[in-house]
Amino acid sequence: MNLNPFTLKELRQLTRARTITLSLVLFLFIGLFLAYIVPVMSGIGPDTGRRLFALLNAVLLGMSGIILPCNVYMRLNSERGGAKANADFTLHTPLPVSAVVDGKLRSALALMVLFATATFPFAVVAYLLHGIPFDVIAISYAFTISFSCMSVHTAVAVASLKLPKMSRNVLFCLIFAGSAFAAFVLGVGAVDLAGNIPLKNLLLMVLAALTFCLNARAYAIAFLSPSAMERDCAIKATLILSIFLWGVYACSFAFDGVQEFCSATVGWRVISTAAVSFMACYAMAQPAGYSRRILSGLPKSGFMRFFIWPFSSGAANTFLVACVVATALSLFEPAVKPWVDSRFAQLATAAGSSFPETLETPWKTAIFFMYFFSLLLVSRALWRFIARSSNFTPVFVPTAAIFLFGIAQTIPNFIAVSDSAWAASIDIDAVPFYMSGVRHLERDHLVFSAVAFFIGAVINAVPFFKAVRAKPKA
Amino acid sequence: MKLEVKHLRKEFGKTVAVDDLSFTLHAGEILGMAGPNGSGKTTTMNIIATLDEPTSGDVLIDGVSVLEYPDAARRAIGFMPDYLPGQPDISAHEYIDFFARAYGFTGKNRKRRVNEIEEFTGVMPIRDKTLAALSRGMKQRVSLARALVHDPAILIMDEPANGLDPRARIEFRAYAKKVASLGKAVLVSSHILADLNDICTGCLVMELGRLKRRIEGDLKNIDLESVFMELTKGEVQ
Repeated sequence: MNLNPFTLKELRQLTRARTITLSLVLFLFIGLFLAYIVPVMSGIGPDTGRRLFALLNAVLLGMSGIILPCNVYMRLNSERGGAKANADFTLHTPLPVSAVVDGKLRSALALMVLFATATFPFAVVAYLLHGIPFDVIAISYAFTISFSCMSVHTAVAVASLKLPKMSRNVLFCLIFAGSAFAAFVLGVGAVDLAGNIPLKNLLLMVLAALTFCLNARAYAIAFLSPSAMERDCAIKATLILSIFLWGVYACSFAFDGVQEFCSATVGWRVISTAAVSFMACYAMAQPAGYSRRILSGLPKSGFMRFFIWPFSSGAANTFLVACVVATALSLFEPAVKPWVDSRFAQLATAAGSSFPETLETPWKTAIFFMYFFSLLLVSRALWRFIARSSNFTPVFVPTAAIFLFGIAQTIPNFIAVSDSAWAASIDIDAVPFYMSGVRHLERDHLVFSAVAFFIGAVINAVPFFKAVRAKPKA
Repeated sequence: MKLEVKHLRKEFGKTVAVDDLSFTLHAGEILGMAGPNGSGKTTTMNIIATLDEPTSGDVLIDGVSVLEYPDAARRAIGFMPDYLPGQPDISAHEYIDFFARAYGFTGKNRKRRVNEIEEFTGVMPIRDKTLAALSRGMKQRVSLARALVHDPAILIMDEPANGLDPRARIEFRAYAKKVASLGKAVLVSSHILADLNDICTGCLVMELGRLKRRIEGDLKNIDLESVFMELTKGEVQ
């Protein structure tokens, strides 16, 4: 078996790092101290084990969710000279940039497992002291490892940003100052959460964590890559895998359990967010225009070219893929509804729940479809405009994109504050109408979305034609 | 082995970094690149080493485009940048070993290859020192070992003599000649014209991304400094 050289190198360096050794020793000492002090201070009661494990979990989360990511961040940050320099190890080997990122992530995961293993003896003590069942311990571990994974991925993504070192450090400190507090609170609370969480919600959490990690990994690869063609495979794989994952989640709407926790509109919002996020990520990873390397890799003619072309050419055609994905997502629910109704009619009736309340009519599907496409089209046009202007640097574009994306996701929640039903928060299509105070009818939605879609299509028409006719420059 | 650069052009927005650059390099030759800052030397080297893509033009190694087959190109090219990071907790030997693994060397074959290249570049006595503890000259030796570990046909050196003391510069010149004597093609950029005078079998003089002249033959008989000043319109104060 060929071990990724980056994983080996990172493991070597991490195990030698004094921070990690000291953290492990400190962690064992704290565990021992807690295992002794908790029963002594509070006496052996029905929930002694629970309290002990909650504290242990909080410390574990602090160690693997804060100290480990900090170490990974500092290591990658020091390997990068400045805003434009790539990690030294990516300079000239036949290994792809994804190997660098994966090496760092895998080695951090290995240490995370080491930290988790170190808590096992204390977890056994907590179990024997009663008050905490085995499944709660297992779910708490899963929660902690998910949080740690997200933290490590965030650390790698921030360290990869094409910003000056000082800016990266400030950004990292801001993110992880909040995380340190959240880690402790979540660590203690995870035990209570793990005892009550339904299985479907657990699935949602794991999927969300996984999608977050995949996004962060794709961003890191995009930012570290010296040239465009090396970004393709990793990001394409991420895109496809994420669509698959959220497809699995969408399928779970067929059952009643998720609907109690999360309405269909929220589900669509999450899926559309994921799709737009990946489109933005992939598009940002492409240079404006067409890479000769990419075009030369395409089959000259035939059936395969039809499928490979949109995945392989420039950002404009990548955008077409996002549109195809959006179509598939938009049509998924109406397409499966009859099948689900007939297959699970008895189940749905028994649970007393109706199938997703929106998007069940063709009109609403069309409205959603057009809003979604207009969002994609306008985003793409803006991206092209920004990328072509020399005033907007590669540092500015992704930063602005992330900032705008954050605002777009936050505005509905702010508007919803004044709305007791929180309708704007869960129904993103309604936001323009809430803002203008206009009573929102389906007909208004339809007109508004159609106009937005038309504008988006017009401003993108010329680049689309160019994209279809693009040929490699000799 | 033949390296061909054909009508290379690279634009960064409105700035043209390399403009219609063409030249060839054969096995055993040491070709120098001289030019003021911003003349496109590093950009050209980055494109040849597959670290960047040109706006137009092509780079061929034995007729195979590095743009279309970057993986094959990376196996044929050893790239030595002008710096080596000072990693505190990795030794010179581990650093070179890492690159041997990355190029697919395994088991005894890898150990043999790493030992060979450490012997060749004089890294053996300092192999257990961490990179942060090495002097600039020692770092350049490690960098050279790294670039040669996969036995490439072409060696590209970007400002290798930058910041070296006189002894290290003499060593570097000796290594460059030694590499060329093994039948490898060497492309080297430098601001120190005396170094190019001593080792190169030809020299490209560049300015503002354009090739001003290719000087052929034994450079020892040519006053490279005067030619350079004349071609780049510089005046001695």
